[in-house]
Amino acid sequence: MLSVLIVYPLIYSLYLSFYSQLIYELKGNFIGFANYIEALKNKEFWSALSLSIIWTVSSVFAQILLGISAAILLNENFVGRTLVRALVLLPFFTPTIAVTMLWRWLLDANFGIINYILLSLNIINKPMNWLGDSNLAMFTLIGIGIWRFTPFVIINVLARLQSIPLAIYEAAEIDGANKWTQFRYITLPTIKGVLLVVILLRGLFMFKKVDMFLILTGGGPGTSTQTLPVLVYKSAFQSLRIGKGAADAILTFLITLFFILFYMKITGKSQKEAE
Amino acid sequence: MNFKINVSRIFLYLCVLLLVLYSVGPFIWILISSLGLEKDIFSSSPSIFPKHFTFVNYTNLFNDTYFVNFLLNSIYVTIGTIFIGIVIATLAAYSLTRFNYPGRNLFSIFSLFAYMLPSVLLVLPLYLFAVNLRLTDKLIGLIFAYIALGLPYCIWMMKAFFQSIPIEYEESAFIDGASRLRTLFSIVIPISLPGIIATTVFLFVLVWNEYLFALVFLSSDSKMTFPVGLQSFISPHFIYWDYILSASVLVSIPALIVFLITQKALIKGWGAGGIKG
Repeated sequence: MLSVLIVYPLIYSLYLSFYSQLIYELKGNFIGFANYIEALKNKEFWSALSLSIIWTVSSVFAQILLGISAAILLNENFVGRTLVRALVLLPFFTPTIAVTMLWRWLLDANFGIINYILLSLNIINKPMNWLGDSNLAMFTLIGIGIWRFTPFVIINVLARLQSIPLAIYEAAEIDGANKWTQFRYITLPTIKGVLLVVILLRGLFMFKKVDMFLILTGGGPGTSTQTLPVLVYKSAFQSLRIGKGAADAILTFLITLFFILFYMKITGKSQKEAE
Repeated sequence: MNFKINVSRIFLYLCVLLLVLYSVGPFIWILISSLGLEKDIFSSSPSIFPKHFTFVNYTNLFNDTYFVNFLLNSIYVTIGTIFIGIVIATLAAYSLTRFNYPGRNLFSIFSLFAYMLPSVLLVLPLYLFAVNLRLTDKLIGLIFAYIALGLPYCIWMMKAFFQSIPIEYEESAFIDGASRLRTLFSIVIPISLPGIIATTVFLFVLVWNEYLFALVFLSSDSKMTFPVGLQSFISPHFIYWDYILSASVLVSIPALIVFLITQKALIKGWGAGGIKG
């Protein structure tokens, strides 16, 4: 019964993708692969795919870099460490809608503090329309994505770092290793395993992210932030072609499948090793 | 030597300060803005300390908008999903770890798999389901959708906890004459309470945040949960910033409370994949 709950939606989407069904119809006509062919022939799909890749790769890359640096910093001894560790995770635990509204406010073209600061520091000479300019919007969204999801990397890397005994670093220091050598030969090899898992999970989650886009830009201006999941939403619920939406969704799924299988492979392997 | 250490300490604290400002600064700013008067919020030269502190934005939010409705809907859906979800997940995970039947292992793999599917893929069939069952624009329909969305992963989490309980406890309870259900309630569930709490937190975060399903399923103002409802404060002609700012602050509070209670356990490491992102 429970397996049905999981498998059925997937099969049903696959089934839908072969039909010309509109969202208010109970049944459409069978049209074979027409939805897929249309999707793959259409420029929209390829632009969405490349936007998805840009979004995923750049935001994950930055999250990892920032996350490792922050985790190393938070692993040092300093006054108020527990409090700081909690504060740093806030962006990740605030509801999506609050985070998106927060940034919309900070970035507002007329009243936003960010424009104000940049203007008064003479970095820019006129207010920027961060979310409304098609050249800027994707860049802005990537920035917000990095801010929101870096804590996920921090939590996982920090947990791993805490398992490294301080004595190892002390010994390395006595042997004359500088900070970089210590990082390169002690820290990095230790966190390599968890890092791989985190990169995969972040990649997967960022790739399928849709709420931030719908709330902040709706894929616009134009199609400048229309990633694959946004395209699926628009096909199904704005163009009302649920069959075409299902085909787009299946194509999106096939790409995430790569992440999923890879993830299962490495976690399966590490589980066996643990046993 | 001493001087050098001091320099690196100062550098460390500077980095920490920067990191904290980066993470928390935006929250402080929205809090300050939400406590300001309209004319101060929209002034061309924002100041860190507004001239007047006032709760007028909050009282207006409660008196003039559907916000209370949105909030109650969200609370209803969250509690409903957690309650039904936890009961099913506990029973299912228990059966998966204690009884032997074909397809058992396959099921766990599928659970994890389902959790990783793109939500835009799941929303299409579930929406059509809801249409057929006449459950669109009803909160109960949304609860069912969220259960379908979160249950696989909940079962997977609960299963891990049940597996860590030695089966000998139960065997000795059986020998003492306890029934299967009695064993479940008086031995297994109390021991796996941390697992149940972790699963509850997972469901809370999932439902409290969820936007896409709520957007697709709900259409009337009186039914909306806050993630969708807040968007009604943005019209094509005007953005009601005073409502948006105060509402954003308020809806964050429950999430932050849950976070404060659980953060110790989180930092100790639920491990990669223990939480949704």
